[in-house]
Amino acid sequence: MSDPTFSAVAGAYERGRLAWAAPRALVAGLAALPSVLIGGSGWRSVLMALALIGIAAVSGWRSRGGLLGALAGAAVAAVPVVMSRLVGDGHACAGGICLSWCGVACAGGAAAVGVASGAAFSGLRHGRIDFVVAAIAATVVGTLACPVVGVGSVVGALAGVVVAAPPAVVAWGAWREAQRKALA
Amino acid sequence: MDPAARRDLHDAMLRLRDGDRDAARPVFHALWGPTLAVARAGLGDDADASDAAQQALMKLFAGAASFDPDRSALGWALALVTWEVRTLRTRRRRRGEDAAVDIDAVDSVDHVRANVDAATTLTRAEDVARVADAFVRLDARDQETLRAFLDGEAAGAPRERKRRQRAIDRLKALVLGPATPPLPGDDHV
Repeated sequence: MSDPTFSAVAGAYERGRLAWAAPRALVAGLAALPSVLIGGSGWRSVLMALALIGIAAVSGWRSRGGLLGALAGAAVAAVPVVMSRLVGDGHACAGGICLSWCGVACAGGAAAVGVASGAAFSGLRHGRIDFVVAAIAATVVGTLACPVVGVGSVVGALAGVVVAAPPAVVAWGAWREAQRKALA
Repeated sequence: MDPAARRDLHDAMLRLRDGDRDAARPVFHALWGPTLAVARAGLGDDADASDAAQQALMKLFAGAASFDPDRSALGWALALVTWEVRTLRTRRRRRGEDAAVDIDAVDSVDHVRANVDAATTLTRAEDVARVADAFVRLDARDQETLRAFLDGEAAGAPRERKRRQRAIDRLKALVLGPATPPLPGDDHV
């Protein structure tokens, strides 16, 4: 065994990782689709889709966790656009406090993404930092593709993730540990 | 490879699948020896064996991101190197370089003996490779059952013995491939 042999093998690994990540990264680009179809912000959404694909490809090449993070971030960013269309711009007021339906719906939709993301995160044994970095980058970039959505919806979506993800991380991790012990 | 080393290899392979570059060297070190040994047994020539082993590991590492956790990394590597050995030997045969088929060059008893020895070695290597190839095609449960058998664990309960026998039967069926059609005159019972 020689070092040139290892270098050749390591090179094959890097090429293989990129080939693995590239087609999966296209899924992240789909997150910008609602803003094109619903918001009508054509060129801007296309640019953001390309940026999301780039983030997901690089993150996925780095690690599996990075790709999952990018997909989670792209999904979170798409929630406000979809929810704004589904629930409209109505609001409800009680006791002097008004809540936008869209903000509430965004928080709920993003909470579902948060639970899935938390489960994916706790299932990772490597690349957790990649997951967080890619998720934040994809959320920020993906949100820029949604000019028709108000700040309240975006804040609602982020709040949904922040509230739902940590319990999912803990619960999923505990379930996996119990499964592991049962199998041991 | 002992069970502890196999577990370490599997663990390192899972890390590599997830993108942990630090796991690349442990996986490479664990697989290089067995892979090269199979290539040497099948090809003899050191340079060709090295090439075959390197090609096999390059393919394994290129596909590491899609590694199935239910499969064995060692079995995968051996299946890949078996394929490389077959490819190289087919190429050699076409060029008339394979010692095992160099019948026209027979000019002495020693030469005949050398050719027979080479053919025996190659046949054994092919047999080992066929079994390895069949083993990785078994499902994870059968693989575990056979590993326990090879590690010398006794099958206590009748159910375990039946499971072991069924795993062996399935391995045999995979090694032997689809049943060959009976020869004329073989249809009597």
